Amino acid sequence: MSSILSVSQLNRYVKSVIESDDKLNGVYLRGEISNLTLHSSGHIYFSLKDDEQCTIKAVMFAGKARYLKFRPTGGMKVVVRGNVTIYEKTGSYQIIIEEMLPDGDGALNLAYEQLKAELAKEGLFDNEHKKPLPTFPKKIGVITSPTGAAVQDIFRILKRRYPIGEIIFCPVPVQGENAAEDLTNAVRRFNGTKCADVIIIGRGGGSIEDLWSFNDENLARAIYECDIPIVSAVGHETDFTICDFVADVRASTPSAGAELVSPVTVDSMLMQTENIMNKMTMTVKRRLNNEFQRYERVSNSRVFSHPEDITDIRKIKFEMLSSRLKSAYTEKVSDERTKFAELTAKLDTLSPLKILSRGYAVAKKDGEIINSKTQADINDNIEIVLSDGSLECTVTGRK
Amino acid sequence: MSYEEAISKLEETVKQLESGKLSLEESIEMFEQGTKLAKECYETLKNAEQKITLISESEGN
Repeated sequence: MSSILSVSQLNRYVKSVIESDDKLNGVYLRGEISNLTLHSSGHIYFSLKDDEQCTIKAVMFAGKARYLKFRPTGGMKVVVRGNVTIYEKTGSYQIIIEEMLPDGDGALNLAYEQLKAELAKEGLFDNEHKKPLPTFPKKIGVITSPTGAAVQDIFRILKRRYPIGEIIFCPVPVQGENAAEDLTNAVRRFNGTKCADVIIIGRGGGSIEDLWSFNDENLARAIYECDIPIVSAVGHETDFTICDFVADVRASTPSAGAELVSPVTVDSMLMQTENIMNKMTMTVKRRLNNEFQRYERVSNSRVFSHPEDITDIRKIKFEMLSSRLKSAYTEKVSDERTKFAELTAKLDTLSPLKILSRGYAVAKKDGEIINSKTQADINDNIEIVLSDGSLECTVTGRK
Repeated sequence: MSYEEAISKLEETVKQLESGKLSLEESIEMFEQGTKLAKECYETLKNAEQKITLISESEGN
């Protein structure tokens, strides 16, 4: 190698030497991120530093960086896998990172905390966005594993509390490689078809790895975008997942979730119906009672209890009239009597018998009274009427 | 009629009855109607059997 090289020739040569070394391809490195630059293009540039303050330049291109489950920050301890190479322009050597994970036991926790912080910042957990659960859901969507205890718990509780609701069950794996995607699709399908009034999504308890599908960003967004209220019921009381935060309501367990979507039990509804029925009966009874009292008041009025009142007044009038009539009549009669007595007395004095009794007599011929001497001839038979009888006489002479 | 419709109709019936604005005949008619509704609600609740419908990935949207 006696000829003089240009810098670029050297750099290119060293690069080819390094890149052909299998030991430098797919190398794993552990270190702390420093001098971090998140480029707008999506590329990530930083230095990886170890405890002895040794550093190496590191690049993660956008094509790989977008699969990161966490957001790298300065000072973060990471494990990376990548290929060592030379940047020809500066001759500095660097590692092109294929994959990067947070270092240590807290790796998942970190990713979780970061996603949580990011989504919170975006407003996915805001209370204003949370929808109230329906009081009487007709259809209850259930997204969980068909084999776990969770589905049994949910079905059992809904059967006891709320058998009038229909369960729309979408069975999906809740852990494993495709679980997050299946859960996400299930939520989207419910939202697309609107075939439920409320949804429970969840699973029984498990390790943080088991519950990991419920910390998926896409699932969180699908839940956020879902118009149907969602209850997240993942694991136990102490387990919190991203799904819990973004859902409209978090239930501590699947059983609690089933209770939350059936706020009014059939038993209490029965009681309510009974109460309404009682109220109605009371109202009608009171009404009827009032009407009856009204009727009683009327029917007990004096007109009905003393119907004679109506006739009495007429009776009195009649009696007054008739007594007046009577007295008028009596008066009249007694007047007439007096008059009559006077008349008869007068008549008495004029009676011919009275005259006869004083010695006068009446002469009759052939039954006819005669009052002239010319009315009887000598030898005629005439009758002389006296007060106590009569005499048969013969005329013997005339004077 | 769904349970919710029946129960809210029943509540409306009671409200009308309580208003006292109805004639006696109307009240009795309302009462009969209410009794029918209450019975309907009761039957719905008592006889409800949980229906479970399964939807799966293959069904599509």
